[in-house]
Amino acid sequence: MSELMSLKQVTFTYPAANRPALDGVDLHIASDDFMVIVGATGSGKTTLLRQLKPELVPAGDLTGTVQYQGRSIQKLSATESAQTIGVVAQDPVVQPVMATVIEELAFSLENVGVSASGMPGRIAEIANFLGLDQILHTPLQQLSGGQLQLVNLASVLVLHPAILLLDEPTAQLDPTTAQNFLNVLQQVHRELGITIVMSEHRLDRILPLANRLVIMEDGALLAAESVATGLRLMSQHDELASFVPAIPNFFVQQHLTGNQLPLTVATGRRMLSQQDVLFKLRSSTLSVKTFGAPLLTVAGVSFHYDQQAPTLRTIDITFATGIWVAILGKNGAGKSTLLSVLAGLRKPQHGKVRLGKQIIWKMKNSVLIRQVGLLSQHPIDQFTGLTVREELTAQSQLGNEPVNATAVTDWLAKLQLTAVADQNVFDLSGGQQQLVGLGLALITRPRLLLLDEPTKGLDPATKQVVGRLLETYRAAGVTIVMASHDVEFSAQFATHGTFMFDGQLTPVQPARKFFTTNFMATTAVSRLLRQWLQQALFSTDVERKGGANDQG
Amino acid sequence: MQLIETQSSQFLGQCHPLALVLYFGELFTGLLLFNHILITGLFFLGLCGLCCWYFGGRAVWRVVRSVLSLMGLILFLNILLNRAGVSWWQFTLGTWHWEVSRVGVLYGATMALSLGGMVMAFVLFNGCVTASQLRALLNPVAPRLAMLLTLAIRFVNLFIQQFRRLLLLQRTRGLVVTAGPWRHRLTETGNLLRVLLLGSISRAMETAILMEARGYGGRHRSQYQHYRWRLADTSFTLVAGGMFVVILGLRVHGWGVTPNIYSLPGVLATDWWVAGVASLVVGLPLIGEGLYRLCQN
Repeated sequence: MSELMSLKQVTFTYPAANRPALDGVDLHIASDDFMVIVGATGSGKTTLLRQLKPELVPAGDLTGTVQYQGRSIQKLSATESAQTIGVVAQDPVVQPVMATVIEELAFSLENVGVSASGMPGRIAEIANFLGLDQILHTPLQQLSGGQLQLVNLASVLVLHPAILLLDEPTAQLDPTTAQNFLNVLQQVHRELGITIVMSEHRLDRILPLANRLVIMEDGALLAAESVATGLRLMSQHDELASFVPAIPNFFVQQHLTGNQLPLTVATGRRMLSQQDVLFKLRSSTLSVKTFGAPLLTVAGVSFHYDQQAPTLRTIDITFATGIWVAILGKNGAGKSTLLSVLAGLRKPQHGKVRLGKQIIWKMKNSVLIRQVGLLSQHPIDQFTGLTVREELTAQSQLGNEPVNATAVTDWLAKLQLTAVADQNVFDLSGGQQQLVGLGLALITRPRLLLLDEPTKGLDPATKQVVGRLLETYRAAGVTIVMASHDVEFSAQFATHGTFMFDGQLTPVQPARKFFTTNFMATTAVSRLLRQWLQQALFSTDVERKGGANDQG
Repeated sequence: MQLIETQSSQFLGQCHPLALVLYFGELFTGLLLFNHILITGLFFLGLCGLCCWYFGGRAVWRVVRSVLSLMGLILFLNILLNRAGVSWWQFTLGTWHWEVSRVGVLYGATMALSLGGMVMAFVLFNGCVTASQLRALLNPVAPRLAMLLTLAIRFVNLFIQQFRRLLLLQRTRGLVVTAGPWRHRLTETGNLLRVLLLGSISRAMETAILMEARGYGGRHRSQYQHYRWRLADTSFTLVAGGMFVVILGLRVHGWGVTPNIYSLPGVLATDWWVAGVASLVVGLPLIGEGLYRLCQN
């Protein structure tokens, strides 16, 4: 297919940075591409995406050329740029400016001067295509995150762009909503022929839709290959191996790498059946962890927001010292509300929450901060607008053992934030803000950690670092209650699991039992192997008995 | 205050924004013209009733509850500070003497009702005239102002949501505005507003870039919403305008006005005339609704 966009020897350096964020990048984007950019946090994915649209190019030193159909993108007028290169941001709330869905769609068309008679047809077409026709007059503030992201997509598609740029568009969405959004993107690509370039950490769902994988490392373009080739390269690369999704990673780990790596459970099962491979559980898989006395007791807690249906309905649960409970559930199920009640930030209408023997909302705030660490769903709401180092230092002063400057530096290293230590927290990427939020929750050395989506926006390698860090605290007796959509992370690190549904929690079960008995909310490897081994959750849980076509 | 909106299928929802703005302009002016307790009370109760008709009693009661507390404060301050005229009740404790004057009570009540009426009129205006209608109205004469107004309305809303979240979550950073001495609370509120401002600016910058990415600022904007001026708008505007002229005339003659606060609140026959016309002004939307329904097929 014809070349749509190209980057030639693009090098970009942010002001005051001592090394380039992009270093000599050459990339060609064809008009039929569904391209996924992958790389660790800070590898230059977002900076690369921003070079593709004139309005998004950040301040800094830029050399090299970026062209759209042979023209420098800097020569595109604002109207041309809007009508050819669409962009959807990561945070669904940031993009909209109008009050209702229809006004938001019209906003784009009004900007480029589409006539009043031409607008209804274009809006009707895109609203019907994306299923927004029933919510056209709904105020945007009443929409869920998934619906809002669809509106954002629609408000760009209504301009009929040739290429869509998306920066981790599903990072803020729960898995089901994210899958729906990706299905829509696939439809947009296949049926409208729009070129798609997106950065993403969660590759398991997106790779089956993509045709090209761009791998970034330290600002350099490592590869821009087909998905199969890209995956093989990543699996051989120490720092990128953890980015390989669970199904292809299982085949790599078990040395079942034939001509291709499967991307879905169905393909994986078919390949396993064809290769006639048998597995058995490793003996070390079923380890048992012990827990201490009850720390947090929730008795008959009910909560509802002003004049609304109950969000929490008579919840009874006890969290023991040293336990790590993962609470799964859809967006809006009440997980965040429950965590805010457990943190003593909201007082339920009925029931009691006791930390030890004290009712949590009666505790003095200064005492509460020393006992309970909270990472909220939007860590930015917990920031005070200082640099990373200053934020951590200030929070440590409120904790049990205020730390000195050297200890703060150690914390920065632990959280992989050394490079951005003196940057303002509002200027960081979503993943880095998440790490700062985690640092703020941990640095006071609390007994109870409440984490709302702790892995949101983190790349797979950083997730492992965070998981191991939290595990050391749990092993030292810290109780962790975590709301998460990240099934793989929860299954790997939590000791227990439960569902939040209809305002209540299902019985809390040990993690392995919980995840191996779940049909859908379980790991990809469990879904792959369940007909042979019900107890397996990860590729490391199993070893091969033998196989006819074994190539390993 | 909660945002409540009329159903677009009702008469007011179908009106041209210009007709609505003219009507509300007349209503607000009417509220300012008269200071008789009968008229202000009638305006307040009439507007409460009108709001209940459009938004439902429960939604309006939530608004009225907060308005009543403000009205109560005004009444209390007047009773406390205004001791002119005849004393209704006296109280002496040692050397301290306090009396409730008739003028204090009645003047306080008049002021409270006037303010209450103003708030309810604004609630009705807010529910009937949407941001997009205002934008459509302003766009031909001041397009930048129209867009700025739309953005401001949206961002005020986001600002309030963000403030509520910060109020809750900044407690994890030791920032509590509801505990401690007043001076401490004021300092903490200042800190909270600083955080709010920093965060909002950061997000607003991102939003501005994304607006530009969708072509904003590139060329002269077109307009999606066009409202057609219909016969019903002409009738509504003419009737409302006529009533307004009558009200102005009555005001010029000094009807429905208490020139001297010591004479409060004798009700004259002329005041009843003003009350009658004011009732028609307030009730005009309901008359419109009735006629609109009569015209249904």
